[in-house]
Amino acid sequence: MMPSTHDWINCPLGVVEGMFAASQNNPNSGWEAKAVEFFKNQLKEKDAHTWVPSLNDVPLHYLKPNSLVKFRCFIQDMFDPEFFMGVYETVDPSTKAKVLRCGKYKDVTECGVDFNSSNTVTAERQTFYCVPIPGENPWVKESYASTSQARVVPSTSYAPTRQKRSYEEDDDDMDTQPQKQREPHAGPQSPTEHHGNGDCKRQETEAPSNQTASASHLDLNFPLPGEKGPSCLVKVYEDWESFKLNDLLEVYGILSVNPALSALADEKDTSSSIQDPTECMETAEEQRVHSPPASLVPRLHMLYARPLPHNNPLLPCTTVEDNSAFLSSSLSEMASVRAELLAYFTHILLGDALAAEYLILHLISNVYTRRDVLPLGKFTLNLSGCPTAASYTERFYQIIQQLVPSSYYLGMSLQNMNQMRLVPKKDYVANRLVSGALQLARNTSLFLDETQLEQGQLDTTGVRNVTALGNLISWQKVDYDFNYHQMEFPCNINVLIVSEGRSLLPSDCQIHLQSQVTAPQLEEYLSSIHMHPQSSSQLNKFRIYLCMARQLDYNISDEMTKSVEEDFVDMRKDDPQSVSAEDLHRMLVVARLLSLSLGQTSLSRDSWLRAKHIDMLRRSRMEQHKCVNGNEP
Amino acid sequence: MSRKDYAAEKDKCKRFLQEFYSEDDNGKKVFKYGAQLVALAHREQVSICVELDDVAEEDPELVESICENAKRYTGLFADAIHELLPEYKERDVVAKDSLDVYIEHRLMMEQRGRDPADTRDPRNQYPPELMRRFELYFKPPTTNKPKVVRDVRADSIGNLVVVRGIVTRATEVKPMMAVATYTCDQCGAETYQPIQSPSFMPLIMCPSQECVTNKSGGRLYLQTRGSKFVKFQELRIQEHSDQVPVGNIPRSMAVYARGENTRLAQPGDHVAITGVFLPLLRTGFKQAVQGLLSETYLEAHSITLMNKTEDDELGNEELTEEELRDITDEGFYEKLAGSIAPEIYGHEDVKKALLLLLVGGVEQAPKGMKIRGNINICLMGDPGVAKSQLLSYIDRLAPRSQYTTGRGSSGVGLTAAVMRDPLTGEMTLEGGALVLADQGICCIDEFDKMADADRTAIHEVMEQQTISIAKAGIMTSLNARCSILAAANPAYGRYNPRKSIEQNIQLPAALLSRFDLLWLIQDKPDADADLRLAQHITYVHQHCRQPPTHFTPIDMKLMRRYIAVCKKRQPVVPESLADYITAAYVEMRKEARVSKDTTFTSARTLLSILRLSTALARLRMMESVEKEDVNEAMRLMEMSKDSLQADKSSTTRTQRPSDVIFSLVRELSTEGVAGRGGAGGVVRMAEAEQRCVSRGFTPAQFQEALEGVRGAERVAGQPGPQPHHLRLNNVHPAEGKTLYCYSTDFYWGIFIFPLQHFVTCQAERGHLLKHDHFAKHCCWRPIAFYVKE
Repeated sequence: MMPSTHDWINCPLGVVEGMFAASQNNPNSGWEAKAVEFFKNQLKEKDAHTWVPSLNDVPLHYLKPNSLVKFRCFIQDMFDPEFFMGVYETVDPSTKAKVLRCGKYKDVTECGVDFNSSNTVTAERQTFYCVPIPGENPWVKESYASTSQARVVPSTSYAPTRQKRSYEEDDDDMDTQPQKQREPHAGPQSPTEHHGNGDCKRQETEAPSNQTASASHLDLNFPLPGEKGPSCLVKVYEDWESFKLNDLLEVYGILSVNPALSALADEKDTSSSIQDPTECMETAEEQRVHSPPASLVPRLHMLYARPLPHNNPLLPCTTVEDNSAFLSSSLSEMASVRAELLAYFTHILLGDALAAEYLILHLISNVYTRRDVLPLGKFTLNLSGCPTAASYTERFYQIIQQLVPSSYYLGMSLQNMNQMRLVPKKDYVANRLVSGALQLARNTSLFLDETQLEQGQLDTTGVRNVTALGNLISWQKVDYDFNYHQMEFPCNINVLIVSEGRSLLPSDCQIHLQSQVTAPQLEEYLSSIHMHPQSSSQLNKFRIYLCMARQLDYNISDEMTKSVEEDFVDMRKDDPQSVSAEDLHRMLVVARLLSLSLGQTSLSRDSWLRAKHIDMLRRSRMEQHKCVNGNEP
Repeated sequence: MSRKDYAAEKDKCKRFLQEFYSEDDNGKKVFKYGAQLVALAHREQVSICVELDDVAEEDPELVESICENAKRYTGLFADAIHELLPEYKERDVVAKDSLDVYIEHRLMMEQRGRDPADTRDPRNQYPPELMRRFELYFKPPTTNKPKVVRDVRADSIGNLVVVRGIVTRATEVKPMMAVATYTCDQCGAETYQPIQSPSFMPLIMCPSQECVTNKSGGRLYLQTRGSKFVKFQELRIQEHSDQVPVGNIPRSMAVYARGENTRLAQPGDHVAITGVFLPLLRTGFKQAVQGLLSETYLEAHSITLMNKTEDDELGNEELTEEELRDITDEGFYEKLAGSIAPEIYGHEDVKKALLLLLVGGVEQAPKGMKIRGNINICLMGDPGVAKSQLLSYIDRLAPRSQYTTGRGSSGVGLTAAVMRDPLTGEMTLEGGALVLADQGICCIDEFDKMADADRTAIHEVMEQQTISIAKAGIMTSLNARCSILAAANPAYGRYNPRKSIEQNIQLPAALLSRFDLLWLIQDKPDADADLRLAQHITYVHQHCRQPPTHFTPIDMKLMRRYIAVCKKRQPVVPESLADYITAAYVEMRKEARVSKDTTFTSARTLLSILRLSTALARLRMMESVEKEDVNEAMRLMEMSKDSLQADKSSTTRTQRPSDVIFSLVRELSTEGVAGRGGAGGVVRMAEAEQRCVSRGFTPAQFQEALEGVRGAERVAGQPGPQPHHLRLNNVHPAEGKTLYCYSTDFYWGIFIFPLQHFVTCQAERGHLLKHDHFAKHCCWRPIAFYVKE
């Protein structure tokens, strides 16, 4: 007997319980694995996953409790494992009949549990605190929402009770009708209002509308300030070892928003006996963090989770191997898309084609492997010589934002550096990892705006923050602060630094922008860029291109290796001071990215020469610049 | 499964406690637990610890049951002891506190009221917990390995487990009610309520016979004085950072400590806790709401503090024979050194020096004067020559280390700072990096950019290994027994070989001389090395992994353990070597005077040689220093000096096997000479070859090196009339270089002439070479001189 679609989405617990009941007669049936397999198979069916409503775009109070939902999320914290009754026995008070029940995938038991039954089986599960992907850009959210085919009906019985506390209220306006495509004109939500003037401004503009009473007593612990969306406690039953902090997941699970869960937390606050030692152990803060009201932080009992290699909705979300057909079909187009993109970037970068070339390389860079401590493939770009006029850097960021799935703008103003929490820190009182802005998912674009930096003094936090940024750039790792020790978390973040002079932070590659536009015309020039945004099909092409180039395989033939080696030796012979091991590393990375950007999966002689050539151009420009500005450090 | 007969089990416990004995040296029986029971009976001891290793001797099966059902057996043992105690009581004990008096009175009451007809309500009987004043703990069998918090799973519920971790939170110690005592306002009867769970429902109605039959409705009142309280503290422990898999958050666990186990640990302590892993029972409403969940905790039986380094090593069993053989096979010294930062190409000698730094020399303290054993190394070099990578690798490899930059950002800096505690307002000392690295390694990057205050303090640390503080009324001296590994950048961007070290890195000579070894890592073009470097880098990019080397780098963990084992050795310098070392030192001094040396050769150099050679002996796991150790130590010194020397291409010197062979031969020759106080020496070919082979070179390599000399540029000259004379045609190409003299197939003579000395004597064309040492030590006829770079 196969449950219908409707059943497995609307009442997944029924399916699980059915399987549990059927397995009672033979103990070795392995029903748990079967249940998971069942859901996996159901979801594999064509489009099946689009029928499942997503927590990302449907407000919580429209979702039916105990139904199957999905959640595109980022593992922000991992709590200690929980022990629960995997199997328990209930006693009917009137008939005294005992029934075995399954305790998996739920939070609350039926009444009449026999706590002393010998049939109780204690099992273990893991809780992850998940938040929406930090820095996910609006176009990604919209695109995902528009592909959803889930029919969501506001549950009338549930909604009123939620109204009062729901945190979602204010930002629902854009999500309440996920089906309805919004007018294309409003299209990519004008980012100006969102990312106007760095963080301070954002907080100012949004704080009153958004962070209402609910947020004041409950910090949802988003890595980036000003983020919104639901966070979720995901309960994992199988293979939790395979998940890591900062992983991107698409979780399919059973939603649990039972108010009793909140009661557990509330009751604590009001009255409890002084004798209770759990009072002193689980502090109020800890309670608040680990059992927040379900209306704010729903529980999700994971049935199946798919690790996301990227969060670009335009690309099929499978592993590289399965994807090869798709990739190879688009390889041929890459060169042409690249040319268009280059032209677009040249236009944006005030007519500087070389900088545009480097920008493309930067955007498709990716730490593909680590050799001990050294990450390979990172390509941090320092774009110096950016005009400070006409809020150029912010406009520039808005364009990047349109192209990459997730990004974050960090204005390096003194105030930000001295006040922001960049590095996550363990809070032992609440027993949680307090997030910081550098807790980012893989391949997020971090846009550091150094033009915001003004004279002044960095305090202790500021120095620590700058060090953390430096570590991030040089080693692609963030040392999370665990108070008694530090823990190193490797990351993979594309850092782009825009500055006036050379950046105070290290970078793999610095290029000085050569503007073809004179200062007085700048304003006009910039507004013209904005007046004529790219058509959405064009933008989509770029988006696909950037993500795809990153996923390609790449190799260097032995022949090429030899000629590169010889080249290096020759270069050293001519001028040993100018070429070091680091330069070779960089040139190999440039050659790699250059080949990939052209859709070539192996290094060719031409690409190597071209990489050498553009690197030379870049260096000569730097030297020139040095001569012009004697004060350059 | 049949239920266990716990009465029988209890008898087993009893028997064990009474009968267990061990024999002391005189063959006398010592009743270990009997003696403790006597102490318990007289209230001289509070806790008794049952060692399960002892139980295992008597009844291995019982141990298993205890480990699996520890809570129950704690009760059984406690009951057994309770029953046994009166037998062990030898004299009356004066009551120590009110509870003792209560217990006494209650016992008397019980005896007085012992009337067969009077069957008391069971609840009015004294619960055993109330009458006990001892605590019982188990010590797990030594076979029980400590677990990681992560590995304590649902299946260990009820078991006795040992876990390791760091305490992250400790509550105040609070009294916790163990037995509540009530009195009735009507009949005056006492009622007792043992409490197991964290909360309890107080009794209200008197359950005594009298009240129930009379329906007098007697109310119960809680009596604090008659109740029993235990000390109670909760801890939270968290996994160590090295036990956490990559990309995971450390797990934590709640620990309940009662009685004697309280107040043992502070937040931040590293502890090993033995305890019973239990679910937390909740009652009433909470149980219903909590529903499916159950919280767990560890009921502590013992809490042991440990420091981090010890803990790292203790966990790992001794090195197995196989592992030892793996490490100590042929060329182990090179292999170990090569395993340091394998991702950084080349720099073999620097890595060797770093290896010695990790092992450390032997500390000496003759007559209270302390001579440090820690080796200090300074790496200098052009920007971008992997200095920082080497530092960070050592930081990771060393079991205890601190990584900091000279311009430390925190106010504490490198040394120590006096801080005002925000809570109490007291002045407290907070240690800086050097203090925290005590007994370890302090890696200081950007050494040249150090703050002045730290720079003065570091003088003391580097020789006396202490830090003296006289600030804000606190005058003290803190231990800072650490090795310093520093990295410095040249003052002018690049190292200028024409200037002295002090000028290059703006550090005073006093500080520089405190470093045992100074390395200058320079980035010099060299087609050969460049090619290999390029090969290395392209390989990495091509294959995304380390290129295959002739050896596989030793695993970091294994290295750490091996180094820990090495550190236990305390090799001594044998008497016989003393002369040799002094002679070598004298020679070095002489040489330093002759060649305008930019480095210093002082008494500190001698100490450095001793330190390095003891470290080498340690590395070989030997108890005494051998001549070879001293030679290698001197070679390293030489190499480090060479690296600083102007225009001597250190890269070629240090890396080719032939160079190493030459330096070996040179050492051999100096060995032979040292006794005679000369500068040149004679070495037999066979001896030289043997030495080279013992250092891991093949005879073929040796021959090759020899050929290399033969093929080198020849300094033209003819044999002079006397056997030890040589007529030089042209001195010029040999200027400033080492001359290798090749005579016959049987002899190798290596002369290290500083040529300017030579030239000033007789540098004219066609002159006869006549050197004192020729005459003194050579009885052979030199055929030709060759110049070898």
